[in-house]
Amino acid sequence: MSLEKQTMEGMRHHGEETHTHDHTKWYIGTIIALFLLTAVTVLAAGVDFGSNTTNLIIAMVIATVKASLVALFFMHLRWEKGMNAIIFLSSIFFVGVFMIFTLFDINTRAKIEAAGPSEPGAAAGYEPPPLPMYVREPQKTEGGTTETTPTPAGGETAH
Amino acid sequence: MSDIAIPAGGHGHQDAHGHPKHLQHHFHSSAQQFEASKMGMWLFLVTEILLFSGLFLVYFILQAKHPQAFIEAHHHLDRNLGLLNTIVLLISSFTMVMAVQSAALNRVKATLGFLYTTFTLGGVFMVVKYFEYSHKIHDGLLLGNLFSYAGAKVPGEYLFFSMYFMMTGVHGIHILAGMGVIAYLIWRTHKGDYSGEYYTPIDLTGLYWHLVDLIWIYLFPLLYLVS
Repeated sequence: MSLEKQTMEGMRHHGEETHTHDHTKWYIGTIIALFLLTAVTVLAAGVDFGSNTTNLIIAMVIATVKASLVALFFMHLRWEKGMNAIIFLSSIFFVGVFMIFTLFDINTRAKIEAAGPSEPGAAAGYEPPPLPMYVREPQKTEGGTTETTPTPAGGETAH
Repeated sequence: MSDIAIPAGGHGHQDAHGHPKHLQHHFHSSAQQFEASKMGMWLFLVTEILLFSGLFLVYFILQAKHPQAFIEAHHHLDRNLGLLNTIVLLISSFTMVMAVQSAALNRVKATLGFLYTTFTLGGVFMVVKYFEYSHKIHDGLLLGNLFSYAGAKVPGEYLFFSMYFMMTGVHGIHILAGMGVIAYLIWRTHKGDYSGEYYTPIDLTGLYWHLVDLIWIYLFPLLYLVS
């Protein structure tokens, strides 16, 4: 097959792809769903689901549903062949690896930091060292001096 | 030689078999060029997701370690302004996707209308952000060691504001960049450079704009709705 012929076929194919579909209905449906889910997000934030973490997870799940709607309809993944979706999902996968492995690390450090970590459950009761109110104290307005003093506990912010 | 060999004078330079002006020589067809550009854009979006994921991870770690500081500090944010900006960005995503569709359907006037609307909504978002930022700067609710709010109640509130300014700041820079590109698209559309046959830049900018919207979908509950 000659290159020229392929080119012409490709153009015709392209023409078919771009001129057939009007997705306005889908887009309007998507934006309405996004508004409703935004309302759900705000309402869910006012409900106590038991713990801080549970509320955070619920908010993230709702956000992920919204993000999926944006990706599927606004970003056209629903109407595309798979390659771009695979690229997109692979990034989500690696973000997952990045976050989960790092959180494993962070959440098990307490066992080492806490005194007497031998018994199980020690990590759960571990309290992080208290943070200072300020990294450095707010500037004193009297006398016009700009001197600031770092708080003794300032070093705690490093981790 | 294979049949790829191009005779002197090149294929497609005769009017009868001419390829469109936008089609570059190393692509077989407009469709192939469009798909390749699109895949390149998706790969770029992957790097954007990875960029933001670092910020999200730091947020999760700090929030888990200092929940009280985050709850107390987030009360300084105006939830209504956050909600307003969420709605503004969602609508702008809708107008952007309509601009892409109008371009694909060769409706130049509609394309311009939707691009102008998207640009304006991006501007509204940044104006709201400006008021939020100036309020916080005035109160000394700033990041890291710049935090000097006299009424701080819980130790470590500055951590929340570090995350607030880093996340919304990086996101805001993306909005500004997107607005710049949309302004460029408006100019090119006015020039008549895009048609139903070639509107790749509008399509790719749409993908970028939706990703920026998608990131805000996560930022809104994380920063404004801590509970």
